[in-house]
Amino acid sequence: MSDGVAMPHDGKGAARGRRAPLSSLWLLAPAAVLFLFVFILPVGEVALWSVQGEAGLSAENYEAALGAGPYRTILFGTLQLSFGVACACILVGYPAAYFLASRPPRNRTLLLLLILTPLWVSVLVRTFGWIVVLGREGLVNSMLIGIGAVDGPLQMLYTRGAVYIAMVQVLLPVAILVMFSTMTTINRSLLMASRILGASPWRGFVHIFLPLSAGGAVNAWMLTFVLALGFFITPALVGGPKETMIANLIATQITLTLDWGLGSALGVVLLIAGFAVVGAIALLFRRVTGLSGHGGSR
Amino acid sequence: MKRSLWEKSGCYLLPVYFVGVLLYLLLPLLLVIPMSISETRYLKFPPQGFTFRWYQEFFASAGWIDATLRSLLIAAASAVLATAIGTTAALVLSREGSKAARVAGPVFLGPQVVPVIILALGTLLVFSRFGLYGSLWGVVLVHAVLALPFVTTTVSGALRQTGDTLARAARVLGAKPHEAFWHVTLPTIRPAVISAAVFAFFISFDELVIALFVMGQNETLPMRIWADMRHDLTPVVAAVATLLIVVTFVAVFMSDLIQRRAQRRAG
Repeated sequence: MSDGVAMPHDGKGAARGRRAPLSSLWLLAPAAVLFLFVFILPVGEVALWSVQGEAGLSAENYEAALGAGPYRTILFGTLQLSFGVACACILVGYPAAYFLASRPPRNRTLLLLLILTPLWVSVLVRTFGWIVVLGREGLVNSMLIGIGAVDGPLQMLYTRGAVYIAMVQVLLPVAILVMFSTMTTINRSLLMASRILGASPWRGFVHIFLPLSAGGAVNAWMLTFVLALGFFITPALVGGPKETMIANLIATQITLTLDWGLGSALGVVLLIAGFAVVGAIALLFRRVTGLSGHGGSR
Repeated sequence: MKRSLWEKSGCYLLPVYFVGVLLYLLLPLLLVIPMSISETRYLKFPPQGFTFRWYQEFFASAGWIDATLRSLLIAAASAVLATAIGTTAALVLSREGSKAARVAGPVFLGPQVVPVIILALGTLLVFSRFGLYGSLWGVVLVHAVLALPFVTTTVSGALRQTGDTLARAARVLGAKPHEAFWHVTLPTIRPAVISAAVFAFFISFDELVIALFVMGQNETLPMRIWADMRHDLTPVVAAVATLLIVVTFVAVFMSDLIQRRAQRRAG
């Protein structure tokens, strides 16, 4: 299949060997072709549609998307909600990832599996679970009424709180996984050394563990933020009209009003805004700490 | 070393907190199961009575079954495609210091960092241009691209762990490149390939947004669930959700078991 895989050579020469690059390209070709036609082409098509007006090239879609009005409000709402959800994922997930990383490897396999399994269950099913929990006659309301804390059912579904709770639950395993994999690379004997030198465990944590795991937390934040930006299912099912996200707006533009140009412009704006925020955070992190946020493994 | 109060309280606090996080992640899923055997037509907690009616309704409904079979077909095809292409690519991507790997590695992670709604929109635009709207095979391709990053990371991880010493030895002993791959490399990474395929399957099987944009009348299972949840929210959704939860948990635990057994055998 590949000359590069099997050629007898020393490790370093593998990549630079004269025959390796050719065979490498052949092995990458199917993935590259699929990628080109099913990823690059569609994203390019979105960009193309976004600058198409009624008479050729035009910025009218962007004017509509960014001008004062409902679209801009929804765009900022989406950024704000995603920002909050990503922060919540880090805050809730960090101690859990810390706990996982401090377990001996034998014990943590099952715990990690329990954290990660929900990731493979459909987001629809997970959101349905929250309808059962938060609904008018759901778990929380029947419990609250049962103990006499409230007289009538509380309105929890179709609120911003419900969207937060459900979105954080959907994205939390991702955040925990990213932070956990950074934490496992931290050399624990550093902490031991700090204890021997007289530092309290808290001091050791703040001065050694926290800085070393910060890169992973920043990576986790960026990933959850970008994933949250594109959320479509959860806000539509457990949020009210105020929680309309840009993805839901794009869907409406495409399926109901059939305004593909405006939908595309909204998509491009979402993509650029998302990358801008992520880039700013990465830059800020590097400026503040002198570390690279990309150091941790995904 | 004497333990401080902080450390002692931490001993209990963290595990309790962790159990709380687990409950938060798992409880809403587990609560779906009793809802699927409740007799009431609307969602009411605690569940009332006991019935298999919603499961019967699911299996008797042509709409639900058609959607399920369509989703199974799409997921199987895209899992096969993503695993084959992804494993091939991983052979290159796992080589450290390879120029192709350095360039292609991050690029292949693209679908993970671009919001799926944009890919869905782009797919619709491309499909309508080429007359692929509603096409099963079109969706198979898109789902395969979504799964590709998972396959390449999983398989190249396994390849890096085993190294290519054995494959090189096979080559020295006269095996052709494809023989070395098929008889030496593949058996050592088989567990990773299997779990990559399982995950690729579920990525497609659960995918709603792209299907919603381009499938039209050819409803997939997630589209059917979505429609039901938006309009009537019948307990049939609870029954379907229960089936999905059980199947997913079994598949994830099985693939983990296969991988762990292989690791143990490898020492």
